[in-house]
Amino acid sequence: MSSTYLALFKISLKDKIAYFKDYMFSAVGRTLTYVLMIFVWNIIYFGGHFTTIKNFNLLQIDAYFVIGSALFLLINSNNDYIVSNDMKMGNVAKSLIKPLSYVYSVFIESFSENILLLPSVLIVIFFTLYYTGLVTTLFSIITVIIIIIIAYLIINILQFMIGSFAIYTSSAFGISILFFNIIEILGGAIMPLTFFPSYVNNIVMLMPFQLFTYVPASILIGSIPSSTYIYYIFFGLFWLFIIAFVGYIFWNHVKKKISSVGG
Amino acid sequence: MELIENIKYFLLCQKYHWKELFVYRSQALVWLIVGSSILLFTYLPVTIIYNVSSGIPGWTYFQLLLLSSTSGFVMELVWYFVLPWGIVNGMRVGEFDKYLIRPFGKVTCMLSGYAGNLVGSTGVIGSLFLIIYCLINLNIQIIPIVIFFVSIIIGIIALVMVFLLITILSYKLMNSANFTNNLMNLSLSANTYPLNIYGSGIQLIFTLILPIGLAVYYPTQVLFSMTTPLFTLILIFVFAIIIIITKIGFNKLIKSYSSGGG
Repeated sequence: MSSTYLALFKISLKDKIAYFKDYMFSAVGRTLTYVLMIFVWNIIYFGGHFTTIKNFNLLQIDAYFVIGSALFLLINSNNDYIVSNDMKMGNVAKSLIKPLSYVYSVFIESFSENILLLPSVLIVIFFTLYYTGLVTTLFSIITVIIIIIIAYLIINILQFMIGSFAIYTSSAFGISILFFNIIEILGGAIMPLTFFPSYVNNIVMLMPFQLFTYVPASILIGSIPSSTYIYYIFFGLFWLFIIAFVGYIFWNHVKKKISSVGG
Repeated sequence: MELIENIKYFLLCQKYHWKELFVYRSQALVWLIVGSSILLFTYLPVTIIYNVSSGIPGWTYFQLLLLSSTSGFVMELVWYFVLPWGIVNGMRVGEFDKYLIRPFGKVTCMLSGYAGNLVGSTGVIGSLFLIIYCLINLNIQIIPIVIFFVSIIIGIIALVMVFLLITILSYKLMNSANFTNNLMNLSLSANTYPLNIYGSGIQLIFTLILPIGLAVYYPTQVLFSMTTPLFTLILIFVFAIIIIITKIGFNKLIKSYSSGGG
Protein backbone atom coordinates (compact mmCIF):
# COMPACT_ATOMS: atom_id res chain seq x y z
CA MET A 1 0.00 0.00 0.00
CA SER A 2 2.80 2.40 0.92
CA SER A 3 4.42 1.80 -2.49
CA THR A 4 1.17 2.97 -4.11
CA TYR A 5 1.33 6.26 -2.20
CA LEU A 6 5.02 6.59 -3.03
CA ALA A 7 4.19 6.16 -6.71
CA LEU A 8 1.46 8.78 -6.33
CA PHE A 9 3.95 11.15 -4.72
CA LYS A 10 6.43 10.64 -7.58
CA ILE A 11 3.73 11.34 -10.19
CA SER A 12 2.60 14.49 -8.34
CA LEU A 13 6.18 15.67 -8.03
CA LYS A 14 6.82 15.19 -11.76
CA ASP A 15 3.61 17.06 -12.50
CA LYS A 16 4.72 20.00 -10.33
CA ILE A 17 8.21 20.02 -11.87
CA ALA A 18 6.57 20.41 -15.29
CA TYR A 19 5.23 23.80 -14.09
CA PHE A 20 8.34 24.63 -12.06
CA LYS A 21 9.00 27.99 -13.74
CA ASP A 22 5.47 29.21 -13.08
CA TYR A 23 5.55 27.82 -9.57
CA MET A 24 8.81 29.52 -8.63
CA PHE A 25 7.66 32.85 -10.09
CA SER A 26 4.56 32.61 -7.93
CA ALA A 27 6.57 31.72 -4.85
CA VAL A 28 8.94 34.64 -5.36
CA GLY A 29 6.02 37.01 -6.01
CA ARG A 30 4.24 35.95 -2.84
CA THR A 31 7.39 36.21 -0.74
CA LEU A 32 8.21 39.68 -2.10
CA THR A 33 4.83 40.92 -0.87
CA TYR A 34 5.97 40.34 2.73
CA VAL A 35 9.61 41.25 2.15
CA LEU A 36 8.52 44.76 1.05
CA MET A 37 7.62 45.31 4.70
CA ILE A 38 11.36 45.44 5.44
CA PHE A 39 11.55 48.79 3.62
CA VAL A 40 8.60 50.10 5.61
CA TRP A 41 10.03 49.11 8.98
CA ASN A 42 13.53 50.30 8.14
CA ILE A 43 12.11 53.78 7.51
CA ILE A 44 10.07 53.61 10.74
CA TYR A 45 13.08 52.55 12.85
CA PHE A 46 15.46 55.07 11.29
CA GLY A 47 12.93 57.90 11.11
CA GLY A 48 11.82 57.51 14.73
CA HIS A 49 15.33 56.65 16.00
CA PHE A 50 14.00 53.46 17.58
CA THR A 51 16.39 50.73 18.75
CA THR A 52 13.60 48.29 19.62
CA ILE A 53 9.85 48.19 19.11
CA LYS A 54 7.98 45.63 21.22
CA ASN A 55 11.15 43.56 21.79
CA PHE A 56 12.16 43.55 18.09
CA ASN A 57 15.29 45.37 17.02
CA LEU A 58 15.78 46.32 13.37
CA LEU A 59 17.86 43.24 12.47
CA GLN A 60 15.27 40.98 14.06
CA ILE A 61 12.38 42.64 12.28
CA ASP A 62 14.16 42.34 8.91
CA ALA A 63 14.94 38.66 9.57
CA TYR A 64 11.38 38.12 10.83
CA PHE A 65 9.81 39.16 7.52
CA VAL A 66 12.21 37.13 5.36
CA ILE A 67 12.11 33.95 7.49
CA GLY A 68 8.41 34.32 8.30
CA SER A 69 7.39 34.69 4.66
CA ALA A 70 9.55 31.71 3.63
CA LEU A 71 8.04 29.50 6.35
CA PHE A 72 4.51 30.67 5.60
CA LEU A 73 5.03 29.81 1.95
CA LEU A 74 6.44 26.40 2.86
CA ILE A 75 3.57 25.23 5.06
CA ASN A 76 0.77 26.55 2.87
CA SER A 77 -0.98 23.81 0.95
CA ASN A 78 -3.51 23.89 -1.84
CA ASN A 79 -5.70 21.14 -0.40
CA ASP A 80 -8.68 23.46 -0.43
CA TYR A 81 -8.45 24.02 -4.19
CA ILE A 82 -7.89 20.32 -4.91
CA VAL A 83 -10.84 19.17 -2.79
CA SER A 84 -13.13 21.98 -3.92
CA ASN A 85 -12.38 21.25 -7.56
CA ASP A 86 -12.83 17.51 -7.07
CA MET A 87 -16.19 18.15 -5.44
CA LYS A 88 -17.28 20.35 -8.32
CA MET A 89 -16.21 17.86 -10.99
CA GLY A 90 -17.59 14.85 -9.14
CA ASN A 91 -14.13 13.32 -8.75
CA VAL A 92 -14.50 12.68 -5.01
CA ALA A 93 -17.22 10.08 -5.46
CA LYS A 94 -15.03 8.30 -8.04
CA SER A 95 -12.02 8.45 -5.71
CA LEU A 96 -13.96 6.98 -2.81
CA ILE A 97 -14.40 3.66 -4.60
CA LYS A 98 -10.69 3.39 -5.46
CA PRO A 99 -8.43 1.25 -3.20
CA LEU A 100 -6.72 4.46 -2.06
CA SER A 101 -7.62 6.84 0.72
CA TYR A 102 -8.88 10.07 -0.88
CA VAL A 103 -7.65 12.07 2.11
CA TYR A 104 -4.10 10.68 1.86
CA SER A 105 -3.93 11.13 -1.91
CA VAL A 106 -4.89 14.82 -1.57
CA PHE A 107 -2.30 15.31 1.17
CA ILE A 108 0.37 13.64 -0.96
CA GLU A 109 -0.47 15.81 -3.94
CA SER A 110 -0.07 19.04 -2.00
CA PHE A 111 2.97 17.70 -0.12
CA SER A 112 4.79 17.25 -3.44
CA GLU A 113 4.37 21.00 -4.01
CA ASN A 114 5.71 21.90 -0.56
CA ILE A 115 8.70 19.60 -0.86
CA LEU A 116 9.74 21.40 -4.05
CA LEU A 117 10.02 24.62 -2.07
CA LEU A 118 11.95 23.14 0.84
CA PRO A 119 15.52 23.61 -0.53
CA SER A 120 14.90 27.30 -1.40
CA VAL A 121 13.30 27.95 1.99
CA LEU A 122 16.26 26.38 3.84
CA ILE A 123 18.73 28.44 1.79
CA VAL A 124 16.77 31.66 2.49
CA ILE A 125 16.66 30.95 6.25
CA PHE A 126 20.34 30.01 6.41
CA PHE A 127 21.49 33.12 4.53
CA THR A 128 19.20 35.42 6.52
CA LEU A 129 20.56 34.16 9.83
CA TYR A 130 24.13 34.29 8.52
CA TYR A 131 23.76 37.78 7.06
CA THR A 132 22.04 39.28 10.12
CA GLY A 133 24.40 37.49 12.53
CA LEU A 134 21.47 36.40 14.69
CA VAL A 135 22.52 33.42 16.81
CA THR A 136 20.22 30.44 16.90
CA THR A 137 20.71 27.28 18.96
CA LEU A 138 20.27 23.62 18.06
CA PHE A 139 17.39 23.49 20.54
CA SER A 140 15.68 26.36 18.67
CA ILE A 141 16.14 24.63 15.32
CA ILE A 142 14.73 21.32 16.60
CA THR A 143 11.77 23.16 18.19
CA VAL A 144 11.08 25.02 14.94
CA ILE A 145 11.16 21.76 12.94
CA ILE A 146 8.63 20.18 15.33
CA ILE A 147 6.41 23.29 15.30
CA ILE A 148 6.55 23.52 11.49
CA ILE A 149 5.46 19.86 11.17
CA ILE A 150 2.56 20.46 13.57
CA ALA A 151 1.62 23.72 11.80
CA TYR A 152 1.80 21.97 8.43
CA LEU A 153 -0.60 19.25 9.59
CA ILE A 154 -2.99 21.80 11.13
CA ILE A 155 -3.10 23.98 8.03
CA ASN A 156 -3.54 20.95 5.76
CA ILE A 157 -6.47 19.62 7.77
CA LEU A 158 -8.10 23.06 7.93
CA GLN A 159 -7.68 23.60 4.19
CA PHE A 160 -9.04 20.14 3.48
CA MET A 161 -12.12 21.00 5.55
CA ILE A 162 -12.49 24.31 3.74
CA GLY A 163 -12.31 22.55 0.38
CA SER A 164 -15.03 20.18 1.57
CA PHE A 165 -17.33 23.16 2.11
CA ALA A 166 -17.85 23.08 -1.65
CA ILE A 167 -20.53 20.48 -0.96
CA TYR A 168 -22.64 23.31 0.51
CA THR A 169 -21.55 26.32 -1.51
CA SER A 170 -20.74 24.59 -4.88
CA SER A 171 -17.28 26.18 -4.76
CA ALA A 172 -15.01 26.82 -1.78
CA PHE A 173 -12.78 29.25 -3.64
CA GLY A 174 -14.13 32.30 -1.78
CA ILE A 175 -13.84 30.69 1.65
CA SER A 176 -10.29 29.61 0.77
CA ILE A 177 -9.23 33.18 0.04
CA LEU A 178 -10.97 34.42 3.19
CA PHE A 179 -9.17 31.76 5.24
CA PHE A 180 -5.84 32.67 3.65
CA ASN A 181 -6.39 36.35 4.50
CA ILE A 182 -7.27 35.48 8.09
CA ILE A 183 -4.21 33.30 8.68
CA GLU A 184 -2.01 35.88 7.00
CA ILE A 185 -3.08 38.47 9.60
CA LEU A 186 -3.59 36.26 12.67
CA GLY A 187 -0.54 34.13 11.90
CA GLY A 188 1.76 37.13 11.96
CA ALA A 189 2.77 37.16 8.27
CA ILE A 190 2.02 40.85 7.81
CA MET A 191 3.25 41.94 11.25
CA PRO A 192 4.61 40.32 14.45
CA LEU A 193 1.67 39.53 16.72
CA THR A 194 3.16 41.45 19.66
CA PHE A 195 2.60 44.66 17.65
CA PHE A 196 -1.16 44.19 17.92
CA PRO A 197 -2.98 46.00 20.75
CA SER A 198 -2.80 43.91 23.94
CA TYR A 199 -6.52 42.99 23.96
CA VAL A 200 -6.27 41.63 20.39
CA ASN A 201 -2.94 39.97 21.14
CA ASN A 202 -4.39 38.13 24.16
CA ILE A 203 -7.07 36.56 21.96
CA VAL A 204 -4.77 35.80 19.01
CA MET A 205 -2.31 34.05 21.31
CA LEU A 206 -4.97 31.47 22.16
CA MET A 207 -5.40 30.51 18.50
CA PRO A 208 -3.30 28.00 16.55
CA PHE A 209 -2.59 30.45 13.69
CA GLN A 210 0.43 31.91 15.52
CA LEU A 211 2.23 28.60 14.83
CA PHE A 212 2.13 29.28 11.07
CA THR A 213 4.53 32.24 11.06
CA TYR A 214 4.94 34.18 14.29
CA VAL A 215 6.17 31.42 16.63
CA PRO A 216 8.68 29.64 14.34
CA ALA A 217 10.10 32.89 12.93
CA SER A 218 10.37 34.48 16.39
CA ILE A 219 12.12 31.38 17.79
CA LEU A 220 14.71 31.44 15.00
CA ILE A 221 15.50 35.13 15.50
CA GLY A 222 15.60 34.75 19.28
CA SER A 223 12.72 37.01 20.26
CA ILE A 224 10.92 34.25 22.17
CA PRO A 225 12.61 32.88 25.34
CA SER A 226 13.73 29.22 25.11
CA SER A 227 11.84 28.43 28.35
CA THR A 228 8.56 28.66 26.39
CA TYR A 229 9.54 26.31 23.53
CA ILE A 230 8.04 23.20 25.18
CA TYR A 231 4.84 25.13 25.87
CA TYR A 232 4.47 25.97 22.16
CA ILE A 233 5.03 22.32 21.16
CA PHE A 234 2.29 21.10 23.53
CA PHE A 235 0.08 24.03 22.54
CA GLY A 236 0.45 22.93 18.90
CA LEU A 237 -0.20 19.27 19.69
CA PHE A 238 -3.34 20.25 21.61
CA TRP A 239 -4.71 22.20 18.64
CA LEU A 240 -3.64 19.48 16.19
CA PHE A 241 -5.61 16.91 18.17
CA ILE A 242 -8.73 19.13 18.30
CA ILE A 243 -8.60 20.08 14.61
CA ALA A 244 -7.89 16.49 13.48
CA PHE A 245 -10.85 15.27 15.55
CA VAL A 246 -13.22 17.92 14.16
CA GLY A 247 -11.87 17.29 10.66
CA TYR A 248 -12.50 13.56 10.97
CA ILE A 249 -16.12 14.07 12.03
CA PHE A 250 -16.69 16.73 9.38
CA TRP A 251 -15.25 14.59 6.56
CA ASN A 252 -17.40 11.60 7.55
CA HIS A 253 -20.43 13.88 7.42
CA VAL A 254 -19.40 15.28 4.01
CA LYS A 255 -18.78 11.78 2.61
CA LYS A 256 -22.38 10.83 3.33
CA LYS A 257 -23.59 13.98 1.59
CA ILE A 258 -21.52 13.17 -1.50
CA SER A 259 -23.12 9.77 -1.93
CA SER A 260 -26.58 11.21 -1.26
CA VAL A 261 -26.32 13.74 -4.11
CA GLY A 262 -24.83 11.24 -6.50
CA GLY A 263 -21.25 12.57 -6.74
CA MET B 1 -20.49 55.66 -32.88
CA GLU B 2 -18.30 52.57 -32.77
CA LEU B 3 -17.20 53.48 -29.26
CA ILE B 4 -20.82 53.79 -28.09
CA GLU B 5 -21.64 50.37 -29.56
CA ASN B 6 -18.65 48.88 -27.75
CA ILE B 7 -19.68 50.48 -24.44
CA LYS B 8 -23.28 49.29 -24.87
CA TYR B 9 -22.13 45.74 -25.53
CA PHE B 10 -19.74 45.86 -22.58
CA LEU B 11 -22.45 47.07 -20.19
CA LEU B 12 -24.89 44.43 -21.39
CA CYS B 13 -22.32 41.71 -20.70
CA GLN B 14 -21.68 43.18 -17.25
CA LYS B 15 -25.38 42.88 -16.43
CA TYR B 16 -25.25 39.15 -17.12
CA HIS B 17 -22.00 38.67 -15.17
CA TRP B 18 -23.59 40.30 -12.13
CA LYS B 19 -26.67 38.14 -12.42
CA GLU B 20 -24.43 35.10 -12.71
CA LEU B 21 -22.75 35.83 -9.35
CA PHE B 22 -26.05 35.91 -7.48
CA VAL B 23 -27.26 32.58 -8.86
CA TYR B 24 -25.40 30.89 -5.98
CA ARG B 25 -26.39 33.16 -3.11
CA SER B 26 -24.34 31.58 -0.29
CA GLN B 27 -21.25 31.68 -2.50
CA ALA B 28 -21.97 35.30 -3.48
CA LEU B 29 -22.20 36.24 0.20
CA VAL B 30 -18.82 34.63 0.91
CA TRP B 31 -17.29 36.44 -2.05
CA LEU B 32 -18.60 39.81 -0.89
CA ILE B 33 -17.10 39.20 2.57
CA VAL B 34 -13.81 38.21 0.90
CA GLY B 35 -13.88 41.47 -1.06
CA SER B 36 -14.25 43.51 2.11
CA SER B 37 -11.23 41.81 3.71
CA ILE B 38 -8.99 44.18 1.74
CA LEU B 39 -10.00 46.84 4.26
CA LEU B 40 -8.20 44.86 6.96
CA PHE B 41 -5.02 44.92 4.89
CA THR B 42 -5.18 48.68 4.46
CA TYR B 43 -6.57 49.82 7.81
CA LEU B 44 -4.89 47.35 10.18
CA PRO B 45 -1.17 47.71 9.29
CA VAL B 46 -1.36 51.51 9.10
CA THR B 47 -3.16 51.77 12.43
CA ILE B 48 -0.76 49.34 14.14
CA ILE B 49 2.28 51.16 12.73
CA TYR B 50 1.09 54.47 14.22
CA ASN B 51 0.15 52.69 17.44
CA VAL B 52 3.61 51.30 18.13
CA SER B 53 5.77 54.01 16.53
CA SER B 54 5.79 57.55 15.22
CA GLY B 55 5.04 56.17 11.75
CA ILE B 56 6.60 56.94 8.39
CA PRO B 57 8.50 60.26 8.50
CA GLY B 58 6.69 63.04 6.61
CA TRP B 59 3.37 61.21 6.63
CA THR B 60 0.63 61.63 9.18
CA TYR B 61 -1.69 58.77 10.12
CA PHE B 62 -4.54 60.04 7.95
CA GLN B 63 -2.26 60.74 5.00
CA LEU B 64 -0.92 57.17 5.07
CA LEU B 65 -4.39 55.74 5.60
CA LEU B 66 -5.59 57.72 2.60
CA LEU B 67 -2.72 56.37 0.49
CA SER B 68 -3.34 52.74 1.48
CA SER B 69 -7.12 53.10 1.00
CA THR B 70 -6.50 54.57 -2.46
CA SER B 71 -4.26 51.61 -3.24
CA GLY B 72 -7.03 49.21 -2.16
CA PHE B 73 -9.66 51.17 -4.11
CA VAL B 74 -7.60 51.23 -7.31
CA MET B 75 -6.54 47.58 -7.17
CA GLU B 76 -10.05 46.31 -6.41
CA LEU B 77 -11.30 48.21 -9.47
CA VAL B 78 -8.48 46.79 -11.58
CA TRP B 79 -9.44 43.29 -10.32
CA TYR B 80 -12.98 44.03 -11.48
CA PHE B 81 -11.79 44.47 -15.07
CA VAL B 82 -8.86 42.06 -15.17
CA LEU B 83 -9.36 38.56 -13.83
CA PRO B 84 -6.20 36.71 -14.96
CA TRP B 85 -7.41 33.24 -13.93
CA GLY B 86 -10.61 33.62 -15.93
CA ILE B 87 -8.83 34.99 -19.01
CA VAL B 88 -6.07 32.34 -19.04
CA ASN B 89 -8.54 29.55 -18.40
CA GLY B 90 -10.69 30.83 -21.27
CA MET B 91 -7.63 30.87 -23.53
CA ARG B 92 -6.55 27.37 -22.48
CA VAL B 93 -9.86 25.73 -23.32
CA GLY B 94 -10.54 27.83 -26.40
CA GLU B 95 -13.53 29.62 -24.86
CA PHE B 96 -11.91 33.01 -25.53
CA ASP B 97 -12.10 32.42 -29.30
CA LYS B 98 -15.86 32.87 -29.33
CA TYR B 99 -15.48 36.41 -27.95
CA LEU B 100 -12.88 37.36 -30.57
CA ILE B 101 -15.17 36.72 -33.52
CA ARG B 102 -17.73 39.24 -32.24
CA PRO B 103 -17.96 42.54 -34.18
CA PHE B 104 -16.38 44.70 -31.46
CA GLY B 105 -12.89 45.90 -30.55
CA LYS B 106 -10.51 43.25 -29.19
CA VAL B 107 -10.14 44.95 -25.81
CA THR B 108 -13.94 45.21 -25.56
CA CYS B 109 -14.25 41.52 -26.45
CA MET B 110 -11.85 40.54 -23.69
CA LEU B 111 -13.37 42.87 -21.10
CA SER B 112 -16.90 41.80 -21.99
CA GLY B 113 -16.04 38.15 -21.58
CA TYR B 114 -14.07 38.34 -18.39
CA ALA B 115 -14.59 41.68 -16.62
CA GLY B 116 -17.36 41.92 -14.08
CA ASN B 117 -15.65 40.50 -11.02
CA LEU B 118 -18.12 41.82 -8.46
CA VAL B 119 -16.20 40.22 -5.60
CA GLY B 120 -14.26 43.37 -4.92
CA SER B 121 -17.33 45.62 -4.87
CA THR B 122 -17.45 45.58 -1.05
CA GLY B 123 -13.74 46.42 -1.02
CA VAL B 124 -14.27 49.30 -3.46
CA ILE B 125 -17.15 50.76 -1.43
CA GLY B 126 -15.32 50.26 1.88
CA SER B 127 -12.12 51.83 0.51
CA LEU B 128 -14.10 54.78 -0.84
CA PHE B 129 -15.60 55.35 2.62
CA LEU B 130 -12.12 55.26 4.13
CA ILE B 131 -10.87 57.75 1.51
CA ILE B 132 -13.76 60.13 2.27
CA TYR B 133 -13.17 59.72 6.02
CA CYS B 134 -9.49 60.64 5.56
CA LEU B 135 -10.30 63.55 3.24
CA ILE B 136 -12.65 65.00 5.86
CA ASN B 137 -10.02 64.60 8.58
CA LEU B 138 -7.32 66.14 6.41
CA ASN B 139 -9.57 69.08 5.51
CA ILE B 140 -8.55 69.18 1.83
CA GLN B 141 -9.92 71.70 -0.71
CA ILE B 142 -12.33 70.61 -3.45
CA ILE B 143 -10.10 71.29 -6.52
CA PRO B 144 -7.25 68.95 -5.44
CA ILE B 145 -9.91 66.32 -4.65
CA VAL B 146 -11.34 66.58 -8.19
CA ILE B 147 -7.84 66.33 -9.72
CA PHE B 148 -7.14 63.37 -7.42
CA PHE B 149 -10.20 61.39 -8.57
CA VAL B 150 -9.68 62.27 -12.26
CA SER B 151 -6.05 61.10 -12.00
CA ILE B 152 -6.93 57.79 -10.39
CA ILE B 153 -9.69 57.07 -12.95
CA ILE B 154 -7.27 57.62 -15.85
CA GLY B 155 -4.67 55.65 -13.89
CA ILE B 156 -7.07 52.71 -13.56
CA ILE B 157 -7.60 52.67 -17.36
CA ALA B 158 -3.81 52.57 -17.87
CA LEU B 159 -3.41 49.84 -15.25
CA VAL B 160 -6.17 47.70 -16.77
CA MET B 161 -4.43 47.87 -20.15
CA VAL B 162 -1.05 47.00 -18.62
CA PHE B 163 -2.37 44.00 -16.69
CA LEU B 164 -4.36 42.75 -19.70
CA LEU B 165 -1.13 42.83 -21.68
CA ILE B 166 0.80 41.01 -18.93
CA THR B 167 -1.95 38.38 -18.65
CA ILE B 168 -1.71 37.51 -22.36
CA LEU B 169 2.07 37.58 -22.18
CA SER B 170 2.14 35.22 -19.20
CA TYR B 171 -0.28 32.89 -21.04
CA LYS B 172 2.07 32.83 -24.02
CA LEU B 173 5.22 32.33 -21.96
CA MET B 174 4.00 30.19 -19.06
CA ASN B 175 0.49 29.08 -19.97
CA SER B 176 -0.54 30.30 -16.54
CA ALA B 177 -2.20 33.21 -14.73
CA ASN B 178 -0.39 32.86 -11.40
CA PHE B 179 2.36 35.26 -12.42
CA THR B 180 -0.09 38.10 -13.21
CA ASN B 181 -2.07 37.43 -10.04
CA ASN B 182 1.04 37.67 -7.91
CA LEU B 183 2.17 40.78 -9.73
CA MET B 184 -1.19 42.41 -9.00
CA ASN B 185 -1.00 41.44 -5.33
CA LEU B 186 2.57 42.70 -5.14
CA SER B 187 1.55 46.02 -6.72
CA LEU B 188 -1.23 46.42 -4.17
CA SER B 189 1.07 45.66 -1.22
CA ALA B 190 3.86 47.92 -2.45
CA ASN B 191 1.55 50.87 -3.05
CA THR B 192 0.02 50.69 0.39
CA TYR B 193 3.07 52.71 1.47
CA PRO B 194 4.78 55.77 -0.07
CA LEU B 195 6.86 54.72 -3.08
CA ASN B 196 9.87 56.83 -2.08
CA ILE B 197 10.67 54.51 0.85
CA TYR B 198 11.70 51.70 -1.54
CA GLY B 199 14.51 53.59 -3.25
CA SER B 200 14.67 54.96 -6.77
CA GLY B 201 14.90 51.59 -8.59
CA ILE B 202 11.70 50.12 -7.18
CA GLN B 203 10.00 53.53 -7.41
CA LEU B 204 10.80 53.60 -11.13
CA ILE B 205 9.41 50.07 -11.63
CA PHE B 206 6.11 51.01 -9.97
CA THR B 207 5.97 54.24 -11.93
CA LEU B 208 6.75 53.20 -15.50
CA ILE B 209 6.74 49.39 -15.81
CA LEU B 210 3.89 48.56 -13.43
CA PRO B 211 2.39 52.05 -13.31
CA ILE B 212 0.26 51.60 -10.19
CA GLY B 213 2.28 54.40 -8.61
CA LEU B 214 0.88 56.74 -11.24
CA ALA B 215 -2.63 55.81 -10.17
CA VAL B 216 -2.06 55.83 -6.41
CA TYR B 217 1.08 57.50 -5.09
CA TYR B 218 1.31 60.53 -7.38
CA PRO B 219 -2.39 61.50 -7.21
CA THR B 220 -2.13 61.54 -3.39
CA GLN B 221 0.93 63.77 -3.76
CA VAL B 222 -1.29 66.18 -5.71
CA LEU B 223 -3.78 66.02 -2.86
CA PHE B 224 -1.20 66.97 -0.24
CA SER B 225 0.16 69.79 -2.44
CA MET B 226 3.53 68.02 -2.66
CA THR B 227 3.60 68.61 -6.45
CA THR B 228 2.81 71.40 -8.93
CA PRO B 229 -0.16 71.62 -11.38
CA LEU B 230 2.35 71.07 -14.21
CA PHE B 231 3.17 67.71 -12.68
CA THR B 232 -0.51 66.71 -12.98
CA LEU B 233 -0.41 67.53 -16.69
CA ILE B 234 2.74 65.44 -17.11
CA LEU B 235 1.00 62.63 -15.19
CA ILE B 236 -1.97 62.63 -17.58
CA PHE B 237 0.41 62.74 -20.56
CA VAL B 238 2.31 59.69 -19.24
CA PHE B 239 -1.02 57.85 -18.74
CA ALA B 240 -1.96 58.57 -22.34
CA ILE B 241 1.37 57.22 -23.62
CA ILE B 242 1.02 54.05 -21.49
CA ILE B 243 -2.53 53.46 -22.78
CA ILE B 244 -1.41 53.87 -26.43
CA ILE B 245 1.68 51.62 -26.06
CA THR B 246 -0.22 48.86 -24.23
CA LYS B 247 -3.07 49.00 -26.77
CA ILE B 248 -0.58 48.47 -29.63
CA GLY B 249 1.13 45.65 -27.68
CA PHE B 250 -2.22 44.07 -26.85
CA ASN B 251 -3.35 44.01 -30.49
CA LYS B 252 -0.01 42.54 -31.62
CA LEU B 253 -0.15 39.77 -29.00
CA ILE B 254 -3.78 38.93 -29.73
CA LYS B 255 -2.95 38.50 -33.43
CA SER B 256 -0.40 35.78 -32.58
CA TYR B 257 -2.67 34.13 -30.01
CA SER B 258 -3.72 30.52 -30.40
CA SER B 259 -5.87 28.77 -27.82
CA GLY B 260 -4.85 25.67 -25.90
CA GLY B 261 -8.02 24.02 -27.10
CA GLY B 262 -6.87 24.01 -30.73
